[in-house]
Amino acid sequence: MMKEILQAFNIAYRVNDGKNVKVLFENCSLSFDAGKFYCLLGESGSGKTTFLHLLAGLDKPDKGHILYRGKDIQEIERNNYLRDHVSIIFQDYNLIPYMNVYQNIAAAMAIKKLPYTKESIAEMLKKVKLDTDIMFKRINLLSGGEKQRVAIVRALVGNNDIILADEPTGNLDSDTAKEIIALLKTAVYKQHKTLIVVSHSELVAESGDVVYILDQKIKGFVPKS
Amino acid sequence: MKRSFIEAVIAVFNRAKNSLALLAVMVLALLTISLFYLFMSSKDLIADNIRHELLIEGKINSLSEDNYLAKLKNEDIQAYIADIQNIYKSLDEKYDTAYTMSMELNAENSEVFKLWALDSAMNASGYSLGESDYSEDNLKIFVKEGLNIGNQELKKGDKLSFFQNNGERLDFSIAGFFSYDERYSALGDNLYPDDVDLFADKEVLYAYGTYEDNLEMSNLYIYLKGSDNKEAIIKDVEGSLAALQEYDIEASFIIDESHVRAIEENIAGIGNLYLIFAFMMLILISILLLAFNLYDLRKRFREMGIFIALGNTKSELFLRLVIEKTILLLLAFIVVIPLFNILARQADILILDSLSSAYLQMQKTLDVSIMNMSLAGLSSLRSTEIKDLIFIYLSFAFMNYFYLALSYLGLCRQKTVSLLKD
Repeated sequence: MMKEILQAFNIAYRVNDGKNVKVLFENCSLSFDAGKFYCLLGESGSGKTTFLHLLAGLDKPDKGHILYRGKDIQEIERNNYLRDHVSIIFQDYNLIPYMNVYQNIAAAMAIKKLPYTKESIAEMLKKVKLDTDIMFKRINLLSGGEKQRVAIVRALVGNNDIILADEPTGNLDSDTAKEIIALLKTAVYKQHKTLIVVSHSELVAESGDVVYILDQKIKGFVPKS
Repeated sequence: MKRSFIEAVIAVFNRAKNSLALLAVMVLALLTISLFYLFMSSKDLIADNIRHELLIEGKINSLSEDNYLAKLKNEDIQAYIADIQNIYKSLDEKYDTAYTMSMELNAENSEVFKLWALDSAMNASGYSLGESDYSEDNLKIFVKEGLNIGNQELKKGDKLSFFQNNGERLDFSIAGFFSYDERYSALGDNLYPDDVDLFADKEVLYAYGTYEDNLEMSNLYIYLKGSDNKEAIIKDVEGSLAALQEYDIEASFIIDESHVRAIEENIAGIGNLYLIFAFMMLILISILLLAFNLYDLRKRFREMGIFIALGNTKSELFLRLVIEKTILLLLAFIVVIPLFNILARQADILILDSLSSAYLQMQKTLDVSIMNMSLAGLSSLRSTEIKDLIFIYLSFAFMNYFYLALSYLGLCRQKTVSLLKD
């Protein structure tokens, strides 16, 4: 069985803001093994989130390939890849604002064609230490920590074996951040998922099995020494 | 499909403010389009009514039409008045016995509508109403047997609608039918010289009249040809009219092409104003709808991006948006139909007021009475008009879907990452 679940191979990516062209990645390659917690560190604006989007298939590299289990994700239907293999936790949660907690999670489960009940969703909320009373609360009435937990529940539904998280603790206080990291780690190890987190937080870095730093000179990732 | 439907329902009802705003724009658009259609069709309907009246009246008055038209062109009012006087003189000559019978009017009984009797008028149209101050509840009407409206034979229980001069619409239920002996004819107030010829083969003429000195009483005038069978005829007339004693029968008047043209021109003038207004509104509404579609979807770029990131295809998203649009369209139709009905009634009155002024003006100019055209039927749309409206509403729905598709193309051109950053 292939060890690497996800690979970035010779990735090149440039950003054109209309005035300048900024090279974010040049011949950048990186491999991720199944069942591990990866942390990608880098300064703000260095391109960490862009790299995560490339891994998620939300954006395309100028050059190079993203391989999922050895297959270029461009060859996999994007919606299949996003629906069945990869879940994303966004920095600003990206929950559907007009839906309540239940509807947000139910929508994700429906897209993945998974059966769900109020009880099953309540059970998932309990696992991330969320009171089931919030189930029918609108998203905009939740605190940052609650939103992030809901986003985690949404990412964990189904059998997606890769979880991509963009600054999952960025908007949280340190205690909540620790709890969120612990939750993610539990999910990774229990369910044998691969967690790839981009962050500039040392707290997150300390938790990772493997930590890479985005080196702006070589326009790629290097292992943290 | 089921999932898309559920999510569409959630989106429509949870995004209440946006949905209401879009619904309001749709309702406004639909009302404008409906009224635009109403003005278009009412123009034709009124013209049809006039022609229908003219056709029947023309047949009835075929003997007198040419002379009558010539008279109107000459506008010889004095001669006209003299002619009227001659009519009665002629009647006196031809019918040697005049009999007057007083009848009590049953004005208190609100269930009964009193009609002024003139059978030729009933033949002609039977649906004009010059008087006012009728009771509004449970109005009933007797009509002459065989009376057709719009080539459709009337049946007991059918509804007949009338507009009074004050614009108020009255609905009558047909309570029954009456018929006269062929030898008899009713006589109206508005007679023209050659009308007398119409009665040449009639043995009995009768007329109702109410006079200011006693509004509670109506007089029945009976003109007889010869006096041999006077008593039998009086008895017969009284008998045949017994059922009608409680009813007034509306009088109708002769019209001609010049009137029709004058009325049509007047209507065209009014109609054109509405048309220009409605056309401008249509363009505005069309632009507004497109802009609103673009704006609404632009605001939802992030939401669409999230759904894509969860694994939705763009076609699934489009299907959901189509379902949302369909729900809103259905809601809009539910709101518009009763609203339009109310507005249509108001529009009827609006047009009627304008027409009434036109009639009065023409009556002054020509010194003749012109039948008041009924606009009833505009607000209670005929089946053909309902079909047209269904077609119009479907076209409106298609336009909405087209605008949605256009807006959605804009979304599809965006990178998913851009959608999420929005």
